[in-house]
Amino acid sequence: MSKTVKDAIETIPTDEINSISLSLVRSEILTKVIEYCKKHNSAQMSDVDLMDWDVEFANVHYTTLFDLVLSANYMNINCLLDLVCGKIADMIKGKTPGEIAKLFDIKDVSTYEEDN
Amino acid sequence: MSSIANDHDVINSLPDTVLCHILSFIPTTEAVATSVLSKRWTHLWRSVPSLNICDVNLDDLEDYCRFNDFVYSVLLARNNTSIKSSIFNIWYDDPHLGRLGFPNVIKWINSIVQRGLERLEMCVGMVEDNLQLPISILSCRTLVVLDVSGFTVKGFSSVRLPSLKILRVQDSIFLNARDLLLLLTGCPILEDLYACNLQSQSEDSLSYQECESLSLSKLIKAQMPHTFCHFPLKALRNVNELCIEINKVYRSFDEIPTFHNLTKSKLHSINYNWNLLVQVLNHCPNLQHIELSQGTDYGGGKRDNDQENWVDPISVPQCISLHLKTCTLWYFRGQQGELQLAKYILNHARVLQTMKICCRDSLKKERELSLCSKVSPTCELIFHVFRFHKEESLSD
Repeated sequence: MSKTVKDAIETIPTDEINSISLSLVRSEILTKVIEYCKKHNSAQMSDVDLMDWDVEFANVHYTTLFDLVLSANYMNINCLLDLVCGKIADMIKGKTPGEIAKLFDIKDVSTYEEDN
Repeated sequence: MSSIANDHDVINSLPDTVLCHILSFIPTTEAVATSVLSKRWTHLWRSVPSLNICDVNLDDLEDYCRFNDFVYSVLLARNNTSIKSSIFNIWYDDPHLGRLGFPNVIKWINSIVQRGLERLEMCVGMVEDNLQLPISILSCRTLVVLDVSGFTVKGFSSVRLPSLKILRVQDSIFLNARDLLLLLTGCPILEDLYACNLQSQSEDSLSYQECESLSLSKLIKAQMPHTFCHFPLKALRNVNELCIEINKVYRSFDEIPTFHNLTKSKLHSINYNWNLLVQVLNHCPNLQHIELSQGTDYGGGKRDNDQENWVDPISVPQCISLHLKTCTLWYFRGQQGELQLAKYILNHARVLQTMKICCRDSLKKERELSLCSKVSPTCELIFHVFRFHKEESLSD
């Protein structure tokens, strides 16, 4: 599921693989990523149940979502990336820029009137 | 970039590509509005790989002009990042605006299909008439997902969608069944088909050669509710899941293929054609879940053959005796053939777990069915009674 891991496995000669370096991913986040991959690789759940599980999985504080996004991006896991980006997008949708700035604590909000 | 240490302004620690990916899920108007969030965000929207024109309802010339202007400005101001996904959801409340405006939509579509479009969702409609689907879509080599609804699909002679895996077409009109087939012939790697409420302006049947010409070998899921034109079952032979108006799309000279992979099926519009139903069941050796309806899934459609009697097949269809786990009979009226079918399944389905009978009023025959012998020890017989709204009528 992770293209980064797949590429690593394919490029390093087999007898030299002891571990694959994922130094940019914090351990609690890696645990969640592994949980996601395991769930999506097992054929046990129906499509509908899997979608419900995904909704639950992504129902976390936005800082965790950002960590997951970075990890999914780094590890090149497209379906997880889409899930988490979609969730963050849902948080942004329908909000004015002022509300978005408040939600994510963005500083340096421009005050000019016109849109591009 | 390893972890987000504190809460402050964390969204800005995400790289540009990730932020653009997030923005690709929201309407373009909102993505453009993020340019005021901070200096970092001023130009991000220009690289967002999507064009989402959502929930646009035009009934006023001024609104229309402003909208037109906005889309052209976005297309011109964007940088070279290709648009990978696009949504067009527009309703023209005034047919004059529709005739004026739709040629612009065609231009926008033409420009994005040439540059790497992978997902397209289009629902563009006008009061009084269907608009014609822009045919440049039908030769978009990069398209993977296509979801269109409310169009008239005509004026094309070839379809080349070599990357298309998911096709959803709803509430649309084709000139004839041949055109629907032509559309599907251009989708050789199609995996998921949803063709709901497709009407054909002509009642002609397909010829034998035309039926043979369509082969959807990668197709896993085919759902065609409310589509009544002639359609070759043979093209669907590899599916795992099928929903179809069986007595309407089938012609007596058609070949029924063996559906080796079919485990879940909804057969609508059976119209008491028990002979056809048995034939189909005989060709679904591994079927586990089945839903049967004499009319459509809203209970509508003609049910004029209700004098037809069920005749027990010579040998029990393999799916019934070995695999069938759930069976649902919709809009059950207690007609003699329906009762006999229900009893036949209860008597022969050895691994049946649930038989669900959905009826409009409480059934007088409920007791008769409850007492009927069930060969499966774990079988549960459920009666589900639902009431229609008073205004709704079933066409007989």
